[in-house]
Formats: sequence, C-alpha cells, structure tokens
Amino acid sequence: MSNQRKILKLSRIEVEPNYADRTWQIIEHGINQIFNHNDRELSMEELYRAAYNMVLHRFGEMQYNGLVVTVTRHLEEMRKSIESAEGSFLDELNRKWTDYTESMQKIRDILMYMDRSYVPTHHKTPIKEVGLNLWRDHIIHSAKIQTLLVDSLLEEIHRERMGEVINHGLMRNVIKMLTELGVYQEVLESINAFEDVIINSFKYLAL
Amino acid sequence: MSDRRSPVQLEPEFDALDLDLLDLEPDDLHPTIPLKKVPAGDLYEAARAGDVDRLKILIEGGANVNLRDKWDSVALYYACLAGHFEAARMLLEAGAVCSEKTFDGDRCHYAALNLRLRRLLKTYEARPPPLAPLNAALRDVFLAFPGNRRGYLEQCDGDYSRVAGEKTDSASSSTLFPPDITFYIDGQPIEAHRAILSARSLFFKQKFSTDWRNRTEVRFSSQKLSYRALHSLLHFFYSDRLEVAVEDMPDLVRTCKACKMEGLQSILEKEMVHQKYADYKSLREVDNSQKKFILQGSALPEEDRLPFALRNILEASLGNCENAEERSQCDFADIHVKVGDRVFRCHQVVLAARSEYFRARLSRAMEFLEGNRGKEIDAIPFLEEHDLSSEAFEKMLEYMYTDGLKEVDPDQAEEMFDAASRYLLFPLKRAVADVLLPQLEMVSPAELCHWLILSDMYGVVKLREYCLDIMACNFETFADTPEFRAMLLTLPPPSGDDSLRTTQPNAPGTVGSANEGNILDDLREKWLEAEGSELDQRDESAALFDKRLEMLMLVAEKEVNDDKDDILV
Repeated sequence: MSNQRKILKLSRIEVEPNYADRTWQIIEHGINQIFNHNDRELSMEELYRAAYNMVLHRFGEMQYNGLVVTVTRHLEEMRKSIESAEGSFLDELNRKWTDYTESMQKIRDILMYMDRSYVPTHHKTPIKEVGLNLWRDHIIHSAKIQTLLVDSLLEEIHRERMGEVINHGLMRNVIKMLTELGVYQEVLESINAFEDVIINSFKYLAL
Repeated sequence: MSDRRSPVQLEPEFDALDLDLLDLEPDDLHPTIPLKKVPAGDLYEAARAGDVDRLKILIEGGANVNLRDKWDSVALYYACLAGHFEAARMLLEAGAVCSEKTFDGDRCHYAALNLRLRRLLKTYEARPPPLAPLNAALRDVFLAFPGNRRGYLEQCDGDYSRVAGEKTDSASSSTLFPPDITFYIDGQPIEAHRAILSARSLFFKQKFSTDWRNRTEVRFSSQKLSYRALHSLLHFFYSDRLEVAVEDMPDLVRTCKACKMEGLQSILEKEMVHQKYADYKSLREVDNSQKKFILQGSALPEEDRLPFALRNILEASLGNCENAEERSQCDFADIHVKVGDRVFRCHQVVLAARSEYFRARLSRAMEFLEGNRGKEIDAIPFLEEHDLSSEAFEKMLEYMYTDGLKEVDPDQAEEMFDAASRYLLFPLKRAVADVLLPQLEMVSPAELCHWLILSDMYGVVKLREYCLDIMACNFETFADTPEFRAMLLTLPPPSGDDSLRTTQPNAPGTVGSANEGNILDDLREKWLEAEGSELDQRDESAALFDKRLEMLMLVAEKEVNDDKDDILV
C-alpha cells in the first residue's frame, strides 16, 4: 500500500518533457484571446489551473518572460493602431488604455499564483506594474505618440480658451493615465512654452 | 521602577508612528558590524543574532514567540538586549507579549538597548494581540465598506495608527465582497452579510428568514438603538473582538438584549458594574483617548466564538446538499461549487474573504466562459473546480470556515498542500503540517524522503525543517536507504561556491545565499550543526560531507543503471 502511494506522489512531481511548452501555449492563447475580447470562450478555472501548475513545477521564469513578450507584441499592434487613428487621437488613446488595463486585470487574475509566489520570492516586478511599465515604454515613449499627445492636449486647452466645449471626462482620463504611469512631469516638461499655464490648467482639470 | 521608565515619560506625547522622527541618522539604524547569520538556530539564537530570515522561517513554522528558554528568557528579550530593531518588530508582530506589567514584558523594557527599541515596545504595548487569519480576513471584509470604515475610525477617535497599517493590505486586494444587507440608523449605513449575522445570532437568523427575508436594507428608527452600539456589535460578529467606548456600553447592553445575545450581555453588565469603581490607571497617561472596553474572543466560551459559529453554518449547508431548493432560506448559502460529482453549498463572503482566487472568480462571475451559464438572474451562482477530490475540497472548506483542521489522513496531505497553494490559502499548509507531524514520527526513511520532496515543492516550511532535521541527525541511516540515494539524483546540486561554506557563512557579514532553498545546502548546514564540529574543523567537515554526498550519488547512479539492465535482461 505504501508502495502505491509513492508511485502516485511521484507521478505528480514528474512531468512529460514538453509539458512546459504545451502549457505555455494554452496560456499564451488565453492571453491573446483576452486582448482580442474573446474571453467568453475561455475558462478562467482552466487557465488559472494551467498557470498554477506551471509555476508549481518551477517554470515560473518561463511564464514570466513569456508574459512580457506576449504583452509587448500586443502593445506594438496597439501602437500602430493609435498612431494611425482616423478620428480623434485622444479618443483612440483613451479607448486603448481602458481596454489594456481591463485586459491586464484579467491576465493578472489568471496568473495570480505567479504574482503571489514566484514574483515575491524571485524579487521580480509585480504583474500590474509590469503592465504599466510596458505601456509607458511602448506607447507613451514612442516619439510619434508623444508629439501627438502633447499637441492634442495643447489643442484641447486652446479650444477651451476660445470658448468651445471640450470633453472634460476624456481629458481627465488621459491626465490620470499620465499620473498613474509617473510620466506626467516628463511629458509636460517636453513643452517649454506655456509650461506654467498648462500645468495649472491640468491640475484644474484633473481635480 | 520609576527610574527605569523615566526616559519614556520625558516625552509623553510620543506618537506611535513617529519612530522615524527620532533624531537619528539613517546610518545609526543599521548595525556597524554586519549581522551574523544563524541558519540552523532556534528562535532565541535567531533573535539574539538579529537574523530576520531565520526568524521569519521559524515564525512561519508556528514557533511560540512567548515561550521561555532555559534561562527563563523570551526571544523578544534577546532581540531587545542586542538591539535588533527589525527582529524585535517581527516578534511583536507575531504576538510577543511586551506589557510592562508582565514578567517577560518588564524584562524586555528593562533590557532594551536604546530609546528606539523602547519606543517600539511602548507602541506595541497598547496593541491588542494579532487576530487569527479567519477573524482578520472577515474583519477586513467588514471594514472594506466605506461606511463601516468611517464608523470605525470615528470610534477610534484619531487613533489611526492601528487602522493605517491594516489598510494597505486590504487596499491592494481591491474589491472585497459586496454586502447583501444594509442597516440604517440615524441615517448612517452599516453594511453586512446575512450569512455572518445569522451564524452569530439566532435573532438575526430568524429575522432574515421571516420579516427581512427579501429586504436588502433595514431602517431602524428606535431611540433605543444607537449607531455606535450596533457598529460595535457587528464588528464583533465579524472579528470576535469587541471594542466599545465605555460611554456606549449601556447602549450596547440594550442592543444585546434586543438581539438576544445573553452571553455577551451578561459579560457587559458585569463589566459595567466593575467600571463604576475602576480607576483608569493605564489610560490616564494616554491623551485624547476614549475610555474603551476591549473584549477578545478568546475570553469567551468556545461556543460563542466565530469559528464555532461558522462551523455550524458550514455543517448546515453541507448537510443541505441534497434538497437544496427548500432549504436555501435556512443556511443562506449563495454559491454552489461543484467538485468532482459533489455540489457544495457555500457562502460567497467566506470564500472571498479567505481566498484571493475565489475573490477573483466571484468578481468575474459574469465574464469568461463561466459567465455564459448564469443567465437566470435569481439562480445561485455556480462554480466548477476540476482536478481536485471532493474530500480535499471539503477539508479545505473546513479550514476556510473554522481556521482549524480536526484530522488529516497522510494520504490526503499532498492534495491538501496542493489545494492550499492553488487557492492561495497559504496558512492552510501549516495547519496541515501541524496535524500531520505527530503521525510522521514512525515513518520509514524512504517515506520521509517523499515528504521532504513534497514539502519543498509546496513550500511547507515546518515539514521541510522537520524532515531535514531527522535526516541530518540520522544521516548514515539515510545513506543506507536506496530511496534517499535516488532522491539525491533528482535534487539540484549543492552550491559548490566556497564562499558560502562553513566557517565563511558564519563569519560576520556574510549575506545569505541568493539561491536560497537548496535542499542539499540546508541539509549540509543542519548536518554540521548536528555533528557539532568545532568551528575550526567545519571546513573539513563540510568537505567530508560533500565527498560523502558525491559518493552516494555515484552509488545511486549505478543503481539506476543496474535497474535498467535488469529490465533489459
């Protein structure tokens, strides 16, 4: 009897050779579907279980790096779509940002075990922060977007000065994003002219 | 006595959180000589050496921080004497007693190396002991509602320090679980959960199954009921800790009477008689503090405590699995979890409070594939969990509801560890290990090897330490066991880095290895400790041990090859 038990135990510990790759493919597919808004077809329980088992079998590093690569790929796509936005640039940026934060929330929930065990023991950056950092590096720091962003913000402010009604909610969301990313000062400082005026108006809007 | 205390009394308005305002350079806070690590030390050695990593392991392993050693000293005393601030803080956080009126506490105050430590002790002195995980989790749920939190802060009356520390924890876990009933008194809301209230009080249970059956809010207009009294009572229901301002006590007694809480009522009445004559010695020195009565759950008979109440509702809902429809009003279950072929009736508030996983699952109930099912609005939500036996799930529920486990079959232990990791219920691992350890005294070396691998995989600190200790003390017995040799082959090799070895790691200033958790490194350390080699011979002993390991591995490899040959033949 004791022999049987041992065999059972070992079977959980040993894994097939391509276990990690296969599991990662499932999770990667899940992440892609979440970004494509197809999460209705995914089982959260199944994905979580796959991710949990992967970390348990000490493939945490693979999962972590895979996450960064996959998210980066999606961000590149988003960058292109934002840069070539047809209508209002700020609208598109805000829409993508909302999408992105929601998707990252879901992904974080699925990879929660990694976030709670692998990340702290290996002194990695938590998933939420990784998400913010990647967005900052790939979207906000893109030269084209940064110019567009500053121009659009200035234009909106100018329009309001001229007595037009502008979308305050949208402005507030964009400013909130910048503060959350910690690049508020940085982006603003790239504007030399009108700096004080602008900071004051931003603060007024952000309130 | 008065001499001893004078430094503290010089600054009576010292604020608990202002430890950093002390007139010290940042460098003063760090010892000039790097700390010496004691990787195999006990609680007292770790406290004396200020080895916080070791201390953390021991505390996580469930060491009793208030135990005295053969010199009649507690660990906190050593930490204070040697001036290890962080170590002392960890011990206090784990519930070490430091009240000046106790023998142990008084010695700590007396021994404290510097003012900073003394202030630390003072800060923790007034602080109630930490809550059990279950109580703390439910208390967080209760205080997560803005209305409830505000009410609590008002009662604390500026004593933000206690709440501020706890706030960060719950804030990070974002949305806690929504209430299903709101009370309004004097226009102020208190939010709560039916399941908890009816578990704690028959009065609420009856109300919820009759008058209040379909209500989501109840407004009280009676003059007899005060907001603060009801808030105290509900806070007590969630956390097993009653905190009430003395001036509110008559109100609370009336509330208890209305809610038919006889036990609590009589305790409060007795206390009120006592209060009349009580001289608030301890509180007189504290400014801006209301006179407050605090009652710990541990002072109550067991059947009046939170775990007992929740065990009752758990048993009720497990018993209701069959004819769920008609009973649904009796147990207030609001979630079904299907595991294997059994459906468990549970309470969302408990699952969400205890496990971050379930919190996420429940808050995303309408998303993902699982959200497609619950189309009918009134239906109880339904979750399905795979790859887990219903027995293990039931055991886990027992722990979630009661913070304890009555018994665990060793055969079931692995699955329990798995469940504890998977559902992010980390304290459950220790609970299982506690139940399991007495059963492991007589097991064979071969089985112990399996327990070591398991405990390493699931991070069960206490069990892992236990296995390593036995192996180190009986190394030769294990060396003769084929299973042990086979295990050596599967483990990552010990770190060959000389700087980490023997005399070196014990020299002051060595930082612990970054690659922590290597089983063979830990085994070597324990072996050296057990063999009690003199310090100057440790290098040789370690080399000896490494040679022995290498040899055993060679034997093991040969055995594996032989086995293969046998099969081929």
